Amino acid sequence: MTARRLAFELTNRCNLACRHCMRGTAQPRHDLPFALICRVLDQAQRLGVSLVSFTGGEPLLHPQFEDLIRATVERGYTFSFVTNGHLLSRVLPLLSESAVKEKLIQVAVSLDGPDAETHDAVRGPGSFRKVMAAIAGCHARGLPTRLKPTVNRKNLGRLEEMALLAAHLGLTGLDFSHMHPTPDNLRDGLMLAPAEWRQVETAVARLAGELKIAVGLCAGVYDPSPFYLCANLSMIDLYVDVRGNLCLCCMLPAIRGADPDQPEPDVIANLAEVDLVEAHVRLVDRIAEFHRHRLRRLAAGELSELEHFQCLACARYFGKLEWLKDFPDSPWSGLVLPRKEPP
Amino acid sequence: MDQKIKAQEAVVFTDLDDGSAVLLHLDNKFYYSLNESGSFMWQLIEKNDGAMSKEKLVEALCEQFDVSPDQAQSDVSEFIEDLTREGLISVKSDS
Repeated sequence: MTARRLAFELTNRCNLACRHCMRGTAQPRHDLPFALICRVLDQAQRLGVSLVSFTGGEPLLHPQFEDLIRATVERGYTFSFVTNGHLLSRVLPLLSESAVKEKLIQVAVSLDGPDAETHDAVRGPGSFRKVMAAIAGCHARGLPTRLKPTVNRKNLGRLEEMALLAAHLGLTGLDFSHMHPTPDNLRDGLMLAPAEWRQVETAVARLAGELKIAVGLCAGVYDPSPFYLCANLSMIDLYVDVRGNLCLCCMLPAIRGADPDQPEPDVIANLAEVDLVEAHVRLVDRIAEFHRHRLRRLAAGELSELEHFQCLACARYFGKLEWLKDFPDSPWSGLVLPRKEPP
Repeated sequence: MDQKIKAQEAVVFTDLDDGSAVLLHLDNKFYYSLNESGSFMWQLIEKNDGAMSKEKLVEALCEQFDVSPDQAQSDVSEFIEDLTREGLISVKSDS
């Protein structure tokens, strides 16, 4: 299997300071160099990649965002991006150009509540109106737009309202995400318990069956199999972080709470130094190693309940949940068995 | 007796690059398209925050666009009537 989607973390800068952000604030601020992105886009054509997605940080803060969109479209890729919506009006003219619009798969707009009170409690005062204005602009220009709510304590009871909001606004769908545990969101009570994650998954599945618009849940869901395969582990998605590293995962780089001085075994290769194809070969080896280690632990009875939660299992495997020991009362801590070092 | 026009709090305005605009009513989630002159008038109403009168709108429209006072009077009346009916603005008498 070869990758279908190539995701770039364009920048780790952001114009908001959301309470539930997974990204650590201590990392130096970077923008992924334009030349490197273009080189990787050229190399990805040999791998059969067809879709390019842009994340951040806030990707619209990349100083050459418009140039990147043109470079992507000129190479024949379709594209999508995630945004908090605050700066979206600036790029509406570009996105409305016919050659660009026909390659745009989706604009995913982060929205964490069906009203200003709920959304702004997490994303900051005035944010809801700016997001609504951005969505109105996208709708007026006929751009495929989806909502991307992160489920947390504040909006747990509002999932249906958010789905209906997306439907009323004429959007193509919405993709809920779990809010992953960080020291900050465990401390301030935004984080849900494992049993609540499962309830969210049931509620989202029900909405998906009942509504006409597309309703989904992004990576991180509970999987009864100990050998879950997310888009990254399946190599459907390739993820390049803001430092230019091909990484195994889209969630783990610079995750809040991880020790910045520890090595990062989820980093495969830096694409400023290594061709994407060679990096992809190393990725295959790393994923095989991951599964071998997992199989051995399964046989030894060392897989805890936490490891059925995608993303968290990987975070733990890569040593990025060590901080959970400082939260012994958290229901997440109770799911963790003592960690064994990967071979 | 003068009438003062105020944009409703629950309405969000989005300027589009060709001079037109779109309004979104957050209570009923309906979109409303505004042409260039509609966008111009909405921005004046919003900027003046409850202090804009019909007469001032007519005057501003005549200054900004190539339109006769009679036509402007008619356009503004229709605009106010439409937006009031849709709950996008409120009009209060300033006694």
